Amino acid sequence: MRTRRGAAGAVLLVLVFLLAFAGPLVSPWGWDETDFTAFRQEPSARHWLGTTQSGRDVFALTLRGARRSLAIGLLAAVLSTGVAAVIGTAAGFAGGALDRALMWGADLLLVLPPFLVVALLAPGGAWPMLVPVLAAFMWMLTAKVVRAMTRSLREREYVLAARFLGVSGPRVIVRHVSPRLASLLAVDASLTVGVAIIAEGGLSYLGLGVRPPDVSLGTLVAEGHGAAATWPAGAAAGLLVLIVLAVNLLGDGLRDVLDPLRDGR
Amino acid sequence: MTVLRVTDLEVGYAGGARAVRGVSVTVGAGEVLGIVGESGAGKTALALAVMGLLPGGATVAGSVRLHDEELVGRSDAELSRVRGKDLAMVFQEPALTPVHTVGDQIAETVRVHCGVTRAAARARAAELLDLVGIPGAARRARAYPHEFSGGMRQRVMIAMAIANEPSVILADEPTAALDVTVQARVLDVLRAAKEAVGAAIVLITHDLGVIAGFADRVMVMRGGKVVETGPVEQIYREPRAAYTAGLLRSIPRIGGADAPRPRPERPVVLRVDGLVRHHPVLKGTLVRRRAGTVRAVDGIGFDVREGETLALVGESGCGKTTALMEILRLSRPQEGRVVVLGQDTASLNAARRKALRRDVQVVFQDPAASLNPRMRVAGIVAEPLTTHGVPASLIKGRVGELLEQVGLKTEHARRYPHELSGGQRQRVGIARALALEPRILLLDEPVAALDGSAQAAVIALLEGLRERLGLTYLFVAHDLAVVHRIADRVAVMHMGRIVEIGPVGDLYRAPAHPYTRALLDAVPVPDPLLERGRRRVLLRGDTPDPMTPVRGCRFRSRCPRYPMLPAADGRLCEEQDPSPGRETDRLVACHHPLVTIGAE
Repeated sequence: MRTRRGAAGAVLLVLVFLLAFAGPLVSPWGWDETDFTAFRQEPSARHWLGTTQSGRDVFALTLRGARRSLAIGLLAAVLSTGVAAVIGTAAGFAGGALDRALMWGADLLLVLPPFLVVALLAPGGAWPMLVPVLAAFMWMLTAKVVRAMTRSLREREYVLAARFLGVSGPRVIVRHVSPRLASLLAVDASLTVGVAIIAEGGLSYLGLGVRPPDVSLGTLVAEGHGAAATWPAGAAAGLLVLIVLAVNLLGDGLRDVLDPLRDGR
Repeated sequence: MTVLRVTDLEVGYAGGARAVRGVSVTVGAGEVLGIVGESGAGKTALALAVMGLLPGGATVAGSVRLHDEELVGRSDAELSRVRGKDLAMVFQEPALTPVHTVGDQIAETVRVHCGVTRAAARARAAELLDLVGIPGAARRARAYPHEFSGGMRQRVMIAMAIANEPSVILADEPTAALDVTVQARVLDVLRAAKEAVGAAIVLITHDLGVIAGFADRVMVMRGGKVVETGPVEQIYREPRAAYTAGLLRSIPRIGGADAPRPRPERPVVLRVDGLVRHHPVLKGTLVRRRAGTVRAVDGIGFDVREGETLALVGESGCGKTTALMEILRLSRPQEGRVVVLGQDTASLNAARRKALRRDVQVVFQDPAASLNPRMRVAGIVAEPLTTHGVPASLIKGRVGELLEQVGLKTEHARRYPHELSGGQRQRVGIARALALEPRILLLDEPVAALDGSAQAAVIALLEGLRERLGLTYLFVAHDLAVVHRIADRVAVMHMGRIVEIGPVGDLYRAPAHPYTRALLDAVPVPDPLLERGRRRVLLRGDTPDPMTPVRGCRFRSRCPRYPMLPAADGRLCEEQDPSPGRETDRLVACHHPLVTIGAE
């Protein structure tokens, strides 16, 4: 039953991708086109989700935003979880000076206000630059959890057994430690997708993320703030919820698949 | 008079497993019924069903009558009035809440059922602690569970069980987690407690030695069914069922006079000299400072010759596993020297250390923990081969060969560890250790986690492998009967030191150190007549805190001999740490040994 949820998540995510990437092919309007005959229109046959104040097609805009947000969210999540896994296992497994140095770095990043730093580093407008910047501020807590788990796994008898066989450190991590972390990392990555999309929206709102005229789901929701029309923001928010839900269902499913004892004890 | 009558009890767990299948048994007033069987026999399910503590989803059918009152089918609230009052339970792991004092927890048991005042309950708690032999009971009642040792915690559980003078106490493996020395005392306490309140006891255990000296009647269970029931003498002398006879045969026994064999003149493959391993204990939240030192291993020395088996024995916490791990690290110890196959581990570089690992392998205690649960058996056994660069084409054949060598079938290669039984898992662990054709095998309690028959089979396997492959074993164990069967020589450890070392025959026949004597005395004999007629020396107190340094002999506080010594002789114990000396064939670290070494 659990894996059915994972499958549902995967199907939902594929549908969202299809909508975001194949949708523009059937949409009568481009995302950057302006219809000077329709400002702030209700949804109609001509504009499926209506138009914005400046006459842009909401359907096309939302899909454009979804593409940006999907790309940023998924890449940032994978990157941040990956960094967390590498740093966490290295610190936990090696211990000593390396552990202290890495955890000191993580603590430093935790106390720095991320928005300030991002503002200082303000990426030059290209959206792919947002991915490493977002990821740089999202890996620390996970890395600490991974480190703690690695430290306890390091003392497990099967890890000791491997070390006493002469298996090298990195290989022990890959073969004996990381499989135990896989389910944690799957859940973490799926949660981070949502966080990254929302953080990107926040940055964009402050003018530090995706710059106009380009849009993301975050900027669309932000534009809805104070606006008289609710449907542009509503459509973006709905899609956002759908993406986060799909990714979380998938993460849940992955966690169960990665646990071979699920039907054991 | 029958107090507890179980009739046709059936217990089924969610998922269709039938744990108990039609068990009928009666317990008379003041009687001790022993229930024995291997894991999976349904012993614990039976006890939980009687208590009404089965997990959700389990089904119970049949009847459990306590004083002619039916318990099956009653609600949890109704049972709560019976549990702890008329029917008490002692679990394997002392189940105490860590955040309340021991006294409060006993007082709570009293108050829940008797409705006495808080002060009266407190007084009763202290009284009960005194009854179960906790010194300074009134003061110790204010202590928290973590301040008590395992044996003392189990005594607290017994105090809670007898608090309301129940008519039946169910004890589920009450001593399985304890050392033999402590086990004997906890059983004595349980017996005294039973006498004090006149309760009947149902003692569940896998250890036939424990039952022999304790139970009046024995019920043998297997696969949820009763194999046979009878008076304890009859079960041990003339078991009717073949299964019972098999169980009795599988118990390792100390006994049988074996002729002392001279130590073979073979090369020494492992030499340990003055090995030290101290753990710093850090305290403080903001500023961590060194608060003390745990002297886990404090200068031990021994040697093992090729083809020989040396057993390291002692209570838990005596440093035997730490010593093993120090040898396995194959690097420079804190102090002392470890020489493996002629190579000093302090002088090894990474490449030579890895090469030496081929020759020194390890088998761990708990096969469930020492096998990666996410790897198949084939992958586990192949890992040492891939690590040491055995060509992939040869690996499959070698894995099959290894599995066959340890008595497993080729189809087991595709299974995951959790799909195997405990004995099979330990065989996988042994196969992995043998993969690189090592010369020395270090075994850390390899059979302690196994059932009787699996234990006997794994020991037989280890003996066979030693003969066939010419292996040298360093065997860590706390079970002296197992050690007697497999070892050539024994080293007894106490608080990080070796107190006595010698050939197994000499040491068991004439132990020289009082501690060795006490360890041997504490081993229950699986024979009701012998066990009851035996005179034994029991140790006072528990293992001392390893952090407090002791001047003089470390064993003094528990030594049965020290209080009886004349003052002049006793002073030697107080002032001088007995040194085990350099000679390693047969030695004892005691100023006043029970037998004189070398005089024989």
